[in-house]
Amino acid sequence: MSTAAVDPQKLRELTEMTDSEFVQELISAYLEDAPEQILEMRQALETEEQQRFARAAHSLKSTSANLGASMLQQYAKELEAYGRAGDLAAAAEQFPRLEEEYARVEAQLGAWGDD
Amino acid sequence: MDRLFRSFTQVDASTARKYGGTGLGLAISRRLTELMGGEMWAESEPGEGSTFHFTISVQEAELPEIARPHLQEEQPALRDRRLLLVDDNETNLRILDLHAKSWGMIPRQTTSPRQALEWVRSGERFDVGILDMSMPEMDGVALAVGIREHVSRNDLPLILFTSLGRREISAQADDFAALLSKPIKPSQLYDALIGIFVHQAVTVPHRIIQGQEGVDTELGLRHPLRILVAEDNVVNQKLALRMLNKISYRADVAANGLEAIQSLQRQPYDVVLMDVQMPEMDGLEASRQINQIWPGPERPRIIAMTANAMPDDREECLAAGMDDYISKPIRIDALADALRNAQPKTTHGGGGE
Repeated sequence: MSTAAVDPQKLRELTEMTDSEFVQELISAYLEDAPEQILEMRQALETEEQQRFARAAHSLKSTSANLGASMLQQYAKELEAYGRAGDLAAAAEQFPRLEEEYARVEAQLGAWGDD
Repeated sequence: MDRLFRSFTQVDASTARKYGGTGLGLAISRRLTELMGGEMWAESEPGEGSTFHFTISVQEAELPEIARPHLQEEQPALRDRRLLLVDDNETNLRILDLHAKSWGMIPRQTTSPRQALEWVRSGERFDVGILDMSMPEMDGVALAVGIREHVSRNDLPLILFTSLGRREISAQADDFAALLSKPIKPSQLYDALIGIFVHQAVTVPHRIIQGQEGVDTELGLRHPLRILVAEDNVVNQKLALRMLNKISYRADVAANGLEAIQSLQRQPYDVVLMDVQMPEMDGLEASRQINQIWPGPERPRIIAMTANAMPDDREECLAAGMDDYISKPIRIDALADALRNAQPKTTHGGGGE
């Protein structure tokens, strides 16, 4: 029972609405953008910049939603809320979970279209 | 001074004193603090006043609900999940129902275990069930056994709602994916539900799938508009443009609020699709400025696009001078509806429609 980090249904719906070439393009853009947001979040944690942290989390939340990475979206959403509430200690605690989830998302998106 | 804390002792032992009392209060209080691993003492100065102190040692609590503001919003991981709720207590049902709905779930509730069993037997699909343990007709464990005759544990994980601990529940409780204790705490309910869906992550079996049939692919031909998309994130830009394209619109892109205003100064637009959160200048500030610069009918219609689902955000957008609001991730039908409500501005005469 493999668990999916990205909802294949969402990607199929996107493909249906557009075409597989566009979905690949969207995935590539996401795989470039998401690590930047995560890096931004990590740096903001180090420098304790709440707004910067929340902003990057917000971005990651919305792009992840587009691709059906719902668990990652969920984690980003929680971290954004911690950032806005100024609770960077809680954010730092939950951050590794988001990184792990992103690794799963990345692996799955990287393989999308291979089969 | 310490005498104060003994039973039936008063500093002023005469019965005629101004303030009455048996002299037990402080003794009991001190006993309670000691039971909680602490102590109690007093400092007093006749004619000045007294200060009473106590310490107790307690375990650090979980994060208070207030520190988890996301608990009050729709939860993407829970959205559209169908939830079966069975409890003979209507108040509990109402509370569970309320939380589930606020997270975007689709609950179906009943006070009757037989009714629930009937739904499952007749093939109604649920993603997760919460069963009360003690119900007069049939208890939660028995109901679970009945449900398992029709649906496997993987297809319908069940949560047992009980005031008992796991140890007190019979071996059959192993069939439950989680135990939920009474009284209901939203954070526990949330954790139990999320825990289930993390493990079976994205099976997403029973969600109602949004069809494409209703998409008006020629909207842009019949109802042409000059559209500016103000959005900083490349992924979101691509998707927005592609969706617009699907309903026959082209659009220009600005990467933040400042760029949006500059674009508007260069040429007229009928509609600005405005992301709320952007660097340099966010969508709220940009909308305020646009309202100042173009106070008349030449102002483009501003439609907010935001990933924050809170009602407050909508208010904030409207207060900043935006006209409409669609939430992210953008759905093509919501986008089309919002554009249908926008009118082309003929005052500039440069549109060429």
